Amino acid sequence: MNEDKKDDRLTAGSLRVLSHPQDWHCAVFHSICVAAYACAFWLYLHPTVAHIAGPWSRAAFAVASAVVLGWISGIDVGVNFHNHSHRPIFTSHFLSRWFGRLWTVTGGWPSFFWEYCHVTVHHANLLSAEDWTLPKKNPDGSFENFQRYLFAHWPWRLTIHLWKALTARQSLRRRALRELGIFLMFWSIPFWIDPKMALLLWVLPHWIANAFVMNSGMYVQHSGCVEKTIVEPVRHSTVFVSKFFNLTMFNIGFHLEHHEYPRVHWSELPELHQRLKPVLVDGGAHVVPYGNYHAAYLLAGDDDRQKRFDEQDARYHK
Amino acid sequence: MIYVLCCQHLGGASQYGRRNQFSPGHSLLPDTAHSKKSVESVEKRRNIKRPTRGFLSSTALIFGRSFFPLFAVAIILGVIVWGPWISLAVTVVAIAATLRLL
Repeated sequence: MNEDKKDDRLTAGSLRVLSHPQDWHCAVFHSICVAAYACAFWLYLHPTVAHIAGPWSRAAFAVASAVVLGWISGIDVGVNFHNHSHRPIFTSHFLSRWFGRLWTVTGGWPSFFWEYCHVTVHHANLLSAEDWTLPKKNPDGSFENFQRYLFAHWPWRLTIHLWKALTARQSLRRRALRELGIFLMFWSIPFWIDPKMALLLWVLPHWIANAFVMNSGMYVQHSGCVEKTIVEPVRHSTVFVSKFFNLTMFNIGFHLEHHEYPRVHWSELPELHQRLKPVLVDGGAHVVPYGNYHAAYLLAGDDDRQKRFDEQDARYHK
Repeated sequence: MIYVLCCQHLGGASQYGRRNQFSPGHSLLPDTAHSKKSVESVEKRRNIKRPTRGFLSSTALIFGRSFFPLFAVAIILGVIVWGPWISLAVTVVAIAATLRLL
């Protein structure tokens, strides 16, 4: 059998369940995240096994676990589920809907709410006054302070905006209530096991995921950018071309490309990036050689550090 | 400015479905009409081997893409072997390194 035919057959097999062969990676990623939570819970409930019988050692375990759990939950919802919200990973709508509902529980979100914020609000109104998912703007058009956005946005501002948006229409209100009920049913499980554990290894990671991973991601992806116009078509998002970052973050660094073509599969964004490269260079798109994390480090700093974020990747100068 | 770029085999770049109807402004790629045939072509072209496959097996790619969750599991389960303080120290170093380098 020749190699191509074999490849075709394998792909056809994968397509019965998964929409795209690479979507397997999304499910694996999410499964490991869930396993990480399960391990943390189990160790917390068996302190002698984990050498965390004392209060200080338990605190050290809780902090280390909450940080890494928050980190991966931020990626799992903010990037991995995000891709699913644009292109469901399963061919079955039922499977996609229920997998999605379970998916975002580990990030402290009802899936419908997250989808609404991202697709209906953010993508539809990118950088306009209606895009309340992004940081507020100063009179000069720049984003508000980085730290203020991180601490004020989730869940405080979001709750107010979502309340207004989702209670506006009866049909939307009914659906939002149903989805919230389903979410709370799953999200409350750790509280039934041990409320203290739930606060330390469930709520705290969700706060870290949203404030430090997802919010910082939103900030750096559009900081210094302008609304898309005919004159400036490629300055609405920053492109992060670090290979390791994109390998481990489902190519979310190709953010401009993603906003232009949200239906392009995440695994095909590097290819789209190569095709669009002349357009990006010509249009003066902001391209940086690192990923979101270093960008957050730069934008969280003083003026000198913030200016370093404005520097362009040498390979993308006009 | 006219951008002459082909969007074939990019997962249907101009195949906007319900979830894609909000892309504002004009498209950077031409808005070509996609027939059923072209969709099938897109599906077939997905199987074109990518250069990374030559270097990394698909299993290695899965591990690479799941790098952060695997790291988290190592930090959490590592507590059994080396205790919570080492896990905390490694976490702090990892965050510092990530903010500086990634």
